[in-house]
Amino acid sequence: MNEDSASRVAQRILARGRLADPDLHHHVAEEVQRAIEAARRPLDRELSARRDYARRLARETRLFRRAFAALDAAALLHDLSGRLLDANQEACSLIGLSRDKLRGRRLQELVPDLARDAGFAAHLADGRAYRAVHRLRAADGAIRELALRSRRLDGRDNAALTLLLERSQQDITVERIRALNRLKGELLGPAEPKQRLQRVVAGILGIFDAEFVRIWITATGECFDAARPDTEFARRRGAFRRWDYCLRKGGIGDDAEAPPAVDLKRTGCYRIGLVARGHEPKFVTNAIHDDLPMSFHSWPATLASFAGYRLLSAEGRVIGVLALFSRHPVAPDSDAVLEDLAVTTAQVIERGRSEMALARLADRPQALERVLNYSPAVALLWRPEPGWPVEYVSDSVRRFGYDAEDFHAGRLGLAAVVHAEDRADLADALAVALADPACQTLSREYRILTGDGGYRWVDDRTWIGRDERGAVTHCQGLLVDITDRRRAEAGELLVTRVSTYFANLEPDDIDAGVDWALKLLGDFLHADRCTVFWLLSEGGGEASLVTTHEWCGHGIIPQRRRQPLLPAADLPWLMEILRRFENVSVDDATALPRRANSERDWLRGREARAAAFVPLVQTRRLVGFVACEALRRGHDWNAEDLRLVRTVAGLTVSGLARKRAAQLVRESERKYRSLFDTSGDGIAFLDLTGRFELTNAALQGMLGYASEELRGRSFLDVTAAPYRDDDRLRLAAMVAGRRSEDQHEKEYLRRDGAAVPVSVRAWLVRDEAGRPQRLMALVRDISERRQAEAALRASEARHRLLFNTMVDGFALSETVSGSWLESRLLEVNPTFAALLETPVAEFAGRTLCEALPACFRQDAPTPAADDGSLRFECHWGERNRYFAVSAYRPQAGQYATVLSDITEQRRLEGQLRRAQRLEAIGTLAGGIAHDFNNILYALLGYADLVMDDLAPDSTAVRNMEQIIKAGNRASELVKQILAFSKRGEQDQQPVRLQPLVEETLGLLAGRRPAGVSLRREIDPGCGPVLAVPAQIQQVVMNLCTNALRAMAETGGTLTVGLREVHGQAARGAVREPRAARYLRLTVTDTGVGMDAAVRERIFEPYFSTRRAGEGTGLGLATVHGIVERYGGSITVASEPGAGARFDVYLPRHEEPAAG
Amino acid sequence: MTRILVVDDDEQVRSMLRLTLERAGFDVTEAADGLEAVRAHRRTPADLVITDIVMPEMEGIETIRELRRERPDLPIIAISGGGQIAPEGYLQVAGKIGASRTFTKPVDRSELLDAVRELAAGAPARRV
Repeated sequence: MNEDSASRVAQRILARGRLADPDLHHHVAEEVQRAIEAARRPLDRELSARRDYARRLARETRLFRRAFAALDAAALLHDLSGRLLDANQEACSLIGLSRDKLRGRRLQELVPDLARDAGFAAHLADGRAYRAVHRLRAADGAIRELALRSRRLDGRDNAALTLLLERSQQDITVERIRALNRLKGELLGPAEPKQRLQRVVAGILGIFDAEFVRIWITATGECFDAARPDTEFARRRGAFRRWDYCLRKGGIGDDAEAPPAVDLKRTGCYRIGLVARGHEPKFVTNAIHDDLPMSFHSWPATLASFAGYRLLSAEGRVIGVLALFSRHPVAPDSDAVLEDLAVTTAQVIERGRSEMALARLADRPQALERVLNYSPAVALLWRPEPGWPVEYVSDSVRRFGYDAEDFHAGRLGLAAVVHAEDRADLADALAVALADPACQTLSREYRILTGDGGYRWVDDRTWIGRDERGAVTHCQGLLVDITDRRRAEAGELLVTRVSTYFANLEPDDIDAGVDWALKLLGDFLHADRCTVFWLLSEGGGEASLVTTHEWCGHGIIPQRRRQPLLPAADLPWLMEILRRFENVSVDDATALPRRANSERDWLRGREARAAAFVPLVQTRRLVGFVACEALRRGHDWNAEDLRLVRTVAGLTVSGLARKRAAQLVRESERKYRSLFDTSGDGIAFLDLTGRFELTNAALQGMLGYASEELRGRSFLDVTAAPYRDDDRLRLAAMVAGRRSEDQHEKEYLRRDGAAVPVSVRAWLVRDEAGRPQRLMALVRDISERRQAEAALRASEARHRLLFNTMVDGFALSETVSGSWLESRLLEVNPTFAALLETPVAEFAGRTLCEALPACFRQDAPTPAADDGSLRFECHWGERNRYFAVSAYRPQAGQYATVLSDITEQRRLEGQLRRAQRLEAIGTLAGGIAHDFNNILYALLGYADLVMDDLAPDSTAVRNMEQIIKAGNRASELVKQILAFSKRGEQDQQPVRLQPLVEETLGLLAGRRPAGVSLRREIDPGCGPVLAVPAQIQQVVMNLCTNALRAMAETGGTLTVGLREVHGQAARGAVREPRAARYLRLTVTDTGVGMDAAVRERIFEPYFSTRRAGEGTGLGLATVHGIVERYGGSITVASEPGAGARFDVYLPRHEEPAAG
Repeated sequence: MTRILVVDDDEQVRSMLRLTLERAGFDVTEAADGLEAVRAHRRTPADLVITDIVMPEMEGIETIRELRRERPDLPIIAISGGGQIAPEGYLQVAGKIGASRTFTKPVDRSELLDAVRELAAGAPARRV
């Protein structure tokens, strides 16, 4: 039984439980057990062996793991496709990802360059060792330059271990510098310059791992560049053509502002432009950008450097720029090397150019000779012997009018053709040159005489040939005709002189300048006279030419005085050409065409044989011309000369224009200056911070400061405190451009502290570019105006008050027709409206005719007086009021109407008239009384005597009695009259009225008719009056008698009242209440009453409505007299049928204070 | 018989008074004004004078004074027409300077005669 089956059996058995036989069971179990153990032993041994192995393995793995983990360098374990199997801690921290995240990724993802690197692929394929420097992109985006060392693991593991070694900056730099130096060596190598340059840019690209490198030659515009294959630069090379354009133009404008630093491309162009123009030797920008310009969006780097180095020629001119754009910073060491490289590159470029030039040069004698013979230069070979004999001269010597043969044959030597004045100098120079053994060349300029007697200037470059001993064997010269050049130079010099002179000329000196320019022209052109003619056109009329400037050569007659002015129409042919802005050259005046007859005559008159005319043009208009005349001979005016004249003419025109402009400016300045100085208002110029720049006298006076004290001072300093804040805001708004003008009133503080109210108008002044330049302010002192305003307001207020509170009504109306009634109301015062019992508003715009009650219209006199005034009185029946109207014309077309209520006046006048009437009657009566008494006495006396003689009871006696009765009545009447008119001051005493009234009423008791009841309203507390008691009694008696009579037929009530009233209450009744208090006695009846006409005259003596026999008719008159005498008054109120009420006012007697 | 001098510029008054007084049993002398009255009195001294106040030449007050001077105990009665010309005040003054009695015209006959008889009887009862 093998162990397996044994165990199986054992298991089965044990599982089933016991055998029947316990011993068997036990035995079998033992056997089985032994079998199992025997079988197990080798298994265990193997197991433990395996366990040991596993443990060993685990330990090794652990060790290895630890070793792996503890490696100082970042280590990555990957398979042969690059997929990462493991990464150690260093690698994780370097890459920035955890192990788990790393596992499964490919190494080529982390180091993109590996994907492209063939070496790495080879390494993976065949296990070759791999070493390289690459960049790794960490998870945080950081780029690290690392040295990679990769090695395949032995065995069947199909894995490789790659170490990532960080390189120190120093290592990198050192390596880089080494590489750059190698590159420099290449630059100086043997290959063609172009090839070399291309190699250099490629090399720099590689060394710096740059994105883009370019060498750009400014002179030719050629570019040599290299770009990384997968970058924008490579893809869109064309996009940088514009960059080239900018660079070629030397950057984005010399004076343009530098673009913002974030725009690296533009900044770069700008900076490179600066370098290309020589403003900077180089620039290096190691900048950090968060957002790169669009062109570089594919560039993942966060660090960018942009460097440019100038390429200088040997003479120090900038001939190009070396530009570099890299992800890596340019360290100072690299920078130095790059700079060095730039220098070398420049040399290469230069040498290359000259080498190329040289290579092109044909060096063939025949070609040379051909060149020589036809060139303007004259080649000659001569010996430094007396006369300077010429061995060989090129044919081109005929340009000087000589035959080469003349020289070859020895008939002429060099000395013979040199201008006498220059010969000596040339000889001296030659001697010096020959004497110096080191001297090889001689360069001189001198004149060569021409065959026709003139001369030409030449530039002589001579090479001195010497033998071995240094002795001179021959001279080899090259003569170049520089006459034209010299002339042109002289002409240019002239122009320069003139333009410089004119540029610096003060406007006042321009005329002198023009004269001087004409002189220079004359000398240069060998002209005899130069004149400036100015074209004047009088407002659309005929134009005239006026000679403004003239220069004459020595001995030449000036024409200016002789003919200062001539009509332009006199020179039609000339003017026509000049108006086309063309020059006119007349070589011979006699040969002028027929249509130029007047010109010919004119020139003859001026003795000119030849003349040149050059137009003067200003803003595309012909303003005149310059004439250069030759008097003695004809003149060949060549185009160059005329061009020169034209240039100078142009300068004079602009100079004259400038002079005119300066004059205008001066005039306007003067005008403005005088305005400024004499202005009554203050004028100030302020800078943009509000400080005074310039102030005029008016403002200085206003503020009480001198000019220097204000300059530089802020206007806020002299502003009163309450206005400062507003002014600050205003200033800010104006400077910021939100407001261009401002006007307001404020107060300034004078030097002495007083406040000056002013009205200020300020505005912003801009320069031609529209930028705020300064502020200008106009200041007006408004104190007077303020005062005037205040006075006006006060006066207006006073007048209005007067108008409104006038006691009389006042109306202002305007009239067109002159009629007062038709005049239209402009304004009425409150009293006017009140008097007419109409609201003020209803008067507006109405005519007086419409506004006034009818009575006014009726009573108004027409026509009015001559001066339009009128006065009248009228009675307003409905209101029973009397008015006085007075109207006059304050000014033409207006009426002023004064309306007075004279009702009261009338009433008082009526009263006065009545009183006067009564007084008059009284006086008369008093006068008559005396005589009457006498008559009556006689009458009655005789009557008594007669009576004595008559028999009693006789008819005669009865008749006599009647006579006597009549006489007595007459006597009574006289007494009444006297009583009425008495002036005598009988004994007055303080009398209390109450008992008197009672007494009188008692007396009347008998006389009261039936049907009349009596009522008393007597205030017992009334004070006394100062009067004669009998007279008071008479008053009461008369009034009561009157009342009773009135009620005789109708019956009714007689009411007698007495009370004390205040003085003012007596007003209206008493004319001039003088007492403080009055007693008022009232007698009222309910009789027939009176109408107005009766009321009016009731106090008149004998005005009576009673029938004869009922009283004297003097009763009320007497009462009136008595009352008036005591300084009181009596009034009556009555209406027909409504009874009557008489009020008697008597002044209360004031007892003197007890003391 | 008692002589009475009547002084008044009014002729009718004078003649009336003459008749009245003569009927009453008196002797009457007339004078038209004060001067005349004084002269008349010197010629024929009266026992009583009745004089008006307002008279030309020498008016009543003067007359009274003159007469009084000449005969201090002469009884004088003054009568007046009153009115504006001779207000009441005059009579008072007349009384003060010597008139024994004063009356206003027209005078009651019986009152006047009583006064005359009283004064003429010798008792110069001054009552003003």
